[in-house]
Amino acid sequence: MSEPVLQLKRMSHAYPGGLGCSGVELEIHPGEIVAIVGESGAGKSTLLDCASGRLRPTGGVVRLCRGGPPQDLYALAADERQAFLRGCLARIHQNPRDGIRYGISASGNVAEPLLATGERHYGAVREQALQWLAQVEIDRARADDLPDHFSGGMQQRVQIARALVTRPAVLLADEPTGGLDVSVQATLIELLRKLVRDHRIAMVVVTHDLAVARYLASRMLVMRAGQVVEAGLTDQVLQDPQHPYSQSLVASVLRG
Amino acid sequence: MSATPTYNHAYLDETTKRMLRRTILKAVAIPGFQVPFAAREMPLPYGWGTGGIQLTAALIGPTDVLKVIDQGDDHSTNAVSIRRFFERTAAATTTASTTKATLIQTRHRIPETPLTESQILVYQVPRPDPLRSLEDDAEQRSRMHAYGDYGRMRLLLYEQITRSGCITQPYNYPAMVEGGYLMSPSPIPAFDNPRLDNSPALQVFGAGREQRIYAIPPYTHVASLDFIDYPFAPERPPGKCALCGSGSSWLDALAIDDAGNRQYVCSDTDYCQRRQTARAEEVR
Amino acid sequence: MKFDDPTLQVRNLSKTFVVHPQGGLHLPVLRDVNLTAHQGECVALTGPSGCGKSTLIRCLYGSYVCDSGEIQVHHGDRRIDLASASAREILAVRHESIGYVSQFLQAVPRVPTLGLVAEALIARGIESEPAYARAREMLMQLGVSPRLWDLPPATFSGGEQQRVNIAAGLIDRKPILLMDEPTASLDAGNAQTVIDLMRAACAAGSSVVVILHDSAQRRLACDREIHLPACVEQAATG
Repeated sequence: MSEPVLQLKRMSHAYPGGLGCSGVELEIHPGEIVAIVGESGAGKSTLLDCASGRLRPTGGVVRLCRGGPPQDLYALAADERQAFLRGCLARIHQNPRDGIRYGISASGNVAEPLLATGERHYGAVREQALQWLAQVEIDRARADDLPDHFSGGMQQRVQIARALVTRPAVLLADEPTGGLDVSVQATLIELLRKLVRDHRIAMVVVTHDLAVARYLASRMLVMRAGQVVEAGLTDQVLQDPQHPYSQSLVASVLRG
Repeated sequence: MSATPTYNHAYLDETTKRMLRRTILKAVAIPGFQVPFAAREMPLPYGWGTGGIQLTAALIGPTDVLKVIDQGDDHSTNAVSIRRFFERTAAATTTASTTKATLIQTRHRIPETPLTESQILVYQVPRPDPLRSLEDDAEQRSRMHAYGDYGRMRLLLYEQITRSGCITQPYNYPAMVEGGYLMSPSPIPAFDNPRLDNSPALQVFGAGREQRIYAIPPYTHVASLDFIDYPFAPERPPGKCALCGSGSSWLDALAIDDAGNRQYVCSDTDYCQRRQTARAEEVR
Repeated sequence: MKFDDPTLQVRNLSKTFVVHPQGGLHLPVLRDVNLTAHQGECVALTGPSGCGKSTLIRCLYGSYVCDSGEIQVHHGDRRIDLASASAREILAVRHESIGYVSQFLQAVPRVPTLGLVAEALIARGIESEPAYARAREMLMQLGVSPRLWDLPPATFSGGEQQRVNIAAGLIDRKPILLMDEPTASLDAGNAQTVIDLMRAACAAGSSVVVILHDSAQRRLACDREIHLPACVEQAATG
């Protein structure tokens, strides 16, 4: 079996006045999609923040692989961590407003992470940006338009292209289909599945939508009050949930 | 002219000047890094060169010869009043000659005449942080500087090329200092940017309102941001100077009649004057 | 590994559902079930409605968590007990060794039929061109009209959906094949095609465990029958 690219070991984060997440265990391998489900306030976003280098856990370890041996993310100095994460981990947000720049063309949005890694050839950057926009099925004719005129689904696809252009090993997605029409959701899910498979990305998707988890993920974590109460195969958790909370979650959403 | 007796030498008290000199030393030690300082109220409004004046006040000694230019011009109101300020408060010897000056305070230009090791160039800077227009959050900006995270600035150039086919930044063209910090060269034309690089003179930049000082030590590498396939290529002057015939200096457009006709003349008045004199001597 | 080792061996498998929202209601479904399937063998599960045939199939696929017992399967040159395997191990077994044709098609919306059927091959690293060619063959064989191939199957009839499901489930020939009522919504002709495909899979060495309600179909398709008794125990609150 391949090495996990992202490992969370007994990872906890306690906020001064309240609950974050506690004792989270997760290993994820290339080409795999793991869903994290639970109601809002369950600690899903805290988990993503800690895993993405933005929030130092108060306990436990976050390890990431970038080709070499696993690296303890928070053992690195802030600037080294930033450099390490660039091109190794990307994140997509529920609201494209948090993930793309509206004053910058779509292709510029995709180009930016490459420019940040020091790519100095305009032609090469542009070529890659256009290629990624094509991969997320954005018409060449719209590539240099400002994304604030795009539909929600298109904006989300620009965000995906921007996240993947540096070929990260790990993709963290926070409700990537939230707020989109059902049909647009389906297209986006299929696109994400294809990209993850083709590029052997390890993806963690946080969602409260069990249907999204079912279509996207092979494994699933159920979180409640900061803790993982159940972890297993997606179909197992959905068809035969073991924990009382998972059962009520599944029963309340999946009718028929 | 003797100093107005009611003021300390060069207007500021000695403690303040010491604070400023310490700040300058720190700025020299970390080329391109914007060092915060406690800017004082100066007897002229913000935007008129309060940062530059404080630097000059901290640097000017009894043997210094001061030149002040505004857009290359020694005779504009701003230049004249700053020069007179130091004549009064520091009994300064002033000059319009770039070669005779030891201290040059400037707004929006670098003199055409090459500078030497015995000179200091003081810039007046309205917006010291090149990232200011990109990011509102000051803490985030300092993090970007600390991490060398200049992708968004490069993105600005990417967008210009995508839209216009070339980099269209006409002035205040951002530059990397010794591969470390990105700096604003102040609103000098991009044409002047190559003069920032490897200059024998010390260059110090002062922003009064923003309370920041930064510096380029002598012989420091300053590279204007660009792409390998779109190298830095600043706008060239549109012809020759109508007065001195120079084809290699930065020119200002002068409207010469109501029909919209224009004449181009050197923006550096000292440079232009000396060329005119030399020409006249040749003719004679 | 000996040739006559069963590819699938279930020992003393028990499964009780515990329904927490109803005060921890215990619903025992399987009790000490034993089952073996050898290479090339087709085994039918029989028994009255509600006796746990589908539950057993889902336990064998890892979708249901069993309480006790073993599910030993051949996986490459190893044996793995699915009852105690990790999620990743079960995924690896599904990837290579166990196929499952569910009773109803569960497809990602908006994915065209042809892509859906080819998916299993592409997931195993087969180039899309040969994968699609094989998908076309399967759909043709199962009588799914080519005009439907580029459409997502969501709007198809029950029978069409089931044939797409079977095509997707059988395209990649796995050593163990689990099928839950594959002929339920098919006419006689299509049912025969499915039975032929099952026999072909067995002839190629797969072990098939299938639920078929029609006894005539069972006689045609299966080598053995395993009878699951109805669970006689009363539901007990625990």
